Amino acid sequence: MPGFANDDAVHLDRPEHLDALFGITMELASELWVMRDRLAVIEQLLDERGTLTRDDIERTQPQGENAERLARERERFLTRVFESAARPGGK
Amino acid sequence: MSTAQPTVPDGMRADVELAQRGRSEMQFLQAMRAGLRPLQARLRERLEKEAALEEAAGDIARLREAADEVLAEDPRLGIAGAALRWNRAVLTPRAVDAFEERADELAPKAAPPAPEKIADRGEEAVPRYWRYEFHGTAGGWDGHEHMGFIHHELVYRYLLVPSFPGDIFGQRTRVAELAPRDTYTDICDLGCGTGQFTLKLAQAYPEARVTGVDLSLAELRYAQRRAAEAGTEWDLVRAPAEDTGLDGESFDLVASFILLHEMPPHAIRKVFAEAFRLLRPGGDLVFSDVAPYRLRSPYQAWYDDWDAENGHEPWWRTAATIDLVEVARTAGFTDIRQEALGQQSYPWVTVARKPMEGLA
Ligand SMILES: C[S@@+](CC[C@H](N)C(=O)[O-])C[C@H]1O[C@@H](n2cnc3c(N)ncnc32)[C@H](O)[C@@H]1O
Repeated sequence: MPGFANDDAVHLDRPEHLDALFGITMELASELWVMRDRLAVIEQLLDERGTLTRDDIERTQPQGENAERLARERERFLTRVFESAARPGGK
Repeated sequence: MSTAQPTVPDGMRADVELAQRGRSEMQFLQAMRAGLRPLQARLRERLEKEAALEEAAGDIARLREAADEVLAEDPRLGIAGAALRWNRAVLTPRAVDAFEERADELAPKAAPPAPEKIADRGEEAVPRYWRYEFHGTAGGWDGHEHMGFIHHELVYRYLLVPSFPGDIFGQRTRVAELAPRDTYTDICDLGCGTGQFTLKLAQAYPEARVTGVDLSLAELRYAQRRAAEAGTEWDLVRAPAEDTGLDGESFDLVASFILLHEMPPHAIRKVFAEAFRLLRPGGDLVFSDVAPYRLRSPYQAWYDDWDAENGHEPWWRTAATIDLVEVARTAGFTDIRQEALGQQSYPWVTVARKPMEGLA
């Protein structure tokens, strides 16, 4: 009844909401990637120098071996995200 | 290795470095496209197995229907569509953020040397269709003072160059070299953007005076900067390609690279008429654009059309189905021929000549 407590509220009940939810998922995935990348840069710098500043992290442009490893990890990460999303019903 | 980002692509500044967030966000967007590839390959396999697609080839509406039926139950199509749409929606805003994060260092590299020299026909001359949000570019081509730089140095570098097959700047060189004459004195590049094709024209015909026309002031500003970096100078004009306001019969080559698919068919016809007006008798037209669907495989035609629909490309289908030979002939051109320069007929180039007086 309108105006009274709704015990089983469903808010996301339109098809567009699924797309919106997908957008939120990608936003989180992007943020997760930014963190993984940052951690990789920190690890690399600690390996190389044993110490670092925030500016070191901002300035680092991963090159060569490091850039390639990050690129492989990015691709694997996203392939997994999309493959898992596509699994139900997919052949 | 393919998605790592070590070398500087052709024609881009070597000294563009983003902070960690901007860099990794842009790389994430590129990796999304790579990560979608296995899923898209599976979709392709399914579609190519279907005789329905072969049967519908040649009629894009039927082709789309046939594919929809085959894939009705397959969640992969929806996932790919939603992912690409999200990717495009955030691409420009992310690139703008990445620029802003480093604005102190990047803005001086983006600034045009003499912006007051860019001729401007003003807001009134801008056609309504140009205001649509192309490619999901938030705020359009002019959404940021340095959008030209952001587009060329960040979006192209991080996303378009690694994501698209073939040497996309080499393609522009080959189209420039396809112009029938060995030398030109006055070249006009319509829809020149940041000068990606303009630079190739200038390099192929170093003795020519070069004019670039575009509707986006931000793109023209960075075109001016890029010309200066390359040690040259172009006349730049903000005007519609179909109504440039430039003097008639003042060019011997009028060219364009991927302009036409951004315009509705009536405007494409006007661009050919304008090119005819701009050319001196005997002058050449070289327009390169998207491949016609009829020359693509059924799968590729389906993909182009599906992707255009999902990618804010309102005029792709009409551009991929229009008969440019007829359009050129109607505008008065002769010696019209078309040539495919790469795989699956892209780049697709239309070459034509304005007849010498008395011969028309
Ligand atoms: C895809 S870009 C191509 C830029 C460049 N020719 C190149 O080779 O990359 C298309 C350009 O056409 C411009 N444009 C679109 N419609 C136009 C019109 N009617 N008149 C002039 N420029 C237009 C856009 O502003 C954009 O810069």
